[in-house]
Amino acid sequence: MLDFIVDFLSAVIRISTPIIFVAICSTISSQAGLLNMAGESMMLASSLTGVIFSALFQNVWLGILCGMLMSIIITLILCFASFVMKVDLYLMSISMNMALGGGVIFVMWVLTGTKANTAGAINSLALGNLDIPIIKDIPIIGEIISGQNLFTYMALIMTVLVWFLLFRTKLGLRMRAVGQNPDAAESVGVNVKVIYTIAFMIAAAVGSFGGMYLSMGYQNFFSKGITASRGFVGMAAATIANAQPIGAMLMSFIFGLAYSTTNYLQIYIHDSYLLMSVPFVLATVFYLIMSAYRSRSEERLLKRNRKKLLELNKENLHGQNS
Amino acid sequence: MRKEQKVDLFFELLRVVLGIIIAYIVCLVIIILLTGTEGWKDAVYNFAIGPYTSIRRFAQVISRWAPYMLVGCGMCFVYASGRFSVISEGIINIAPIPIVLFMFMTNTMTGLPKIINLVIIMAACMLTGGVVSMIPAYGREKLGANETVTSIILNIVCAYIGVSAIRNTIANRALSFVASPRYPDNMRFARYWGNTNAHQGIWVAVIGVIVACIIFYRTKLGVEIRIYGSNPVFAKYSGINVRIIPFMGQLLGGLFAGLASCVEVFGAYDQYQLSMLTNIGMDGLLIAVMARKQPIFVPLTAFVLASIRTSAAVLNTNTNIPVELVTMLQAVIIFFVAAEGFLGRLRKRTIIRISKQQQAKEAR
Repeated sequence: MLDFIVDFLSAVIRISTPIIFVAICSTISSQAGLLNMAGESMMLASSLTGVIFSALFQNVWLGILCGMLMSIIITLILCFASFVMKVDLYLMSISMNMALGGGVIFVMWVLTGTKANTAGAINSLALGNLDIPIIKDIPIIGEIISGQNLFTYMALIMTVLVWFLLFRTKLGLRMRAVGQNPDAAESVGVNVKVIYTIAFMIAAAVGSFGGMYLSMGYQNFFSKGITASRGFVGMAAATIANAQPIGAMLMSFIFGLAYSTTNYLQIYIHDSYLLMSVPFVLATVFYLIMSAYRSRSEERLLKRNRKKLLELNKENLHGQNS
Repeated sequence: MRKEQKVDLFFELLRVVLGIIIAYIVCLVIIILLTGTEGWKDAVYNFAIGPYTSIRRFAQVISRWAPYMLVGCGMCFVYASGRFSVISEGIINIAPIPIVLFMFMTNTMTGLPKIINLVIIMAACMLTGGVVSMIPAYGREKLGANETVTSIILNIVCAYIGVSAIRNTIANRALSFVASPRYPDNMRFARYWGNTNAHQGIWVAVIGVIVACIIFYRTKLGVEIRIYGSNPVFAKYSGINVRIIPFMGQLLGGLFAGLASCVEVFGAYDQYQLSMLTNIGMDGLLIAVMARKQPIFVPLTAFVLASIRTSAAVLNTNTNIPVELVTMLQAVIIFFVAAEGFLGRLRKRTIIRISKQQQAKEAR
């Protein structure tokens, strides 16, 4: 039983990793005031590029760098289209996702001749697991936390870094200012489009790790439909957590829990299609509930303040009477 | 029509045509690069006029055209109301499920004449489509959740639930994939031209487009949807019910998507066998964008897309260049067609020049 729990929890961490990356990536752009629908394309582009270049250079880190650059290039195209050429951002993101969904398969076919996966055809490298020195000797926690993939630890570090970037640096302050009110930010001399573009580029760099984890850590080849709409789940996680990095990470763990629960339940419940839809149903329901809560929160605040004002008035009246 | 408006229309048209032509050229260049010096003539021939070389292939174009037109019209309503719900994609998969289950689990429909059955099927599909489209709409209007996010995630749910429902109830166990039993002859659109893919659903699509045009251009509802989409605040102050209108836009989108799924599932296939997303809904978005939200242009843009898609399929079978090539170029088309900045300066300059000329004429 204990073994099972340890297995299960470390699976949760393993499955949550890509979602954390995408959630953090969406966090950055939603702090800057834009919804990042292109998480899927960032992941797809980087996961294939990482595989190709790591095989080409026979160096994992160069592969990761190239994947990151590819993701940034894709995002720059997106930014050019929506901020300079004035295409609707959502429309462009959705079409970008569609295009890359086909595009990566096309590129894979050009390179390998198959449309299923790159296993065997491209001799790509992957990042290994890491044992953390002291923690690994602690009985249960060590088995869960230590020995995860290097990407997983990067995700945790990146969460903290992004938090630092957003809430402790000048750039982060500007991003949040633009996110809250672009016109006000523009009036004090912040170039809104540049901030949007920078936010999107940082988001792309973070999001690309999510894609590369899938093709260079979780498994060591690229396959068709590798992202399985995790981009949107990550985005939902970020939105549910109100674009707070730490909250987004925790929310990603909840989705990871849902994913791995469905994986484990497949032994007992044979309706695999219904099971596979569970994480997505959860994401939708959470998203709807949190949106409702948040859209009402303004009204609640108004009501509370009005009540306070009323009480204050009453007290004043009492004071005058006595 | 004033001269400025004419120029405006001309530039809109130019952008669409240029977008398609550029995408087409990019496609041809990639094909030529891939096939090398020997095979390129064959490949380009296949891509350019492949769909029109045999009656079966042309029938395939027609069979794609029907759902594309309907879903494109529906998308025009959604898009014109200023919303961005892409739930049509999921509706294609899930809308026929209730009626397929009803069809095979009860005997009610076996004895009825074909025309009544078809009406029942279409109504049921539209109803389901409408209901499903209300989920993201409700989320957006009442709960403040972004409808694009909910609809994209729900699409996946719809596909899974569709397969699961068939698999657990009426699946044909003789097949290696999940599918319902074959439709009886009086419960499907009959095929034309000796069992090709062209089927009677095309007439449904034609009527659907006409109805869509009438609603869009000639009714109060259509005008209200368009006004709301272009300026919600103006709509509010001009007395339009702004609580209902966005719902109606998305509902119409769902109804048309439901009808499209009915045409696709009961016409192009012999049994319900969709196991993943079909991409028809997303293509509908592309069609609506290409038609600049005008249902009247939808038949044309839908035909263009159906033709390109079939070309890609022909190319795939003959030269083994994958269909995904065309998917990739979708972004190129959208980029050029939807980019207000593309040719924007030229358009502005032309309009200014014309109005100055007119001013000078009036002054004289």
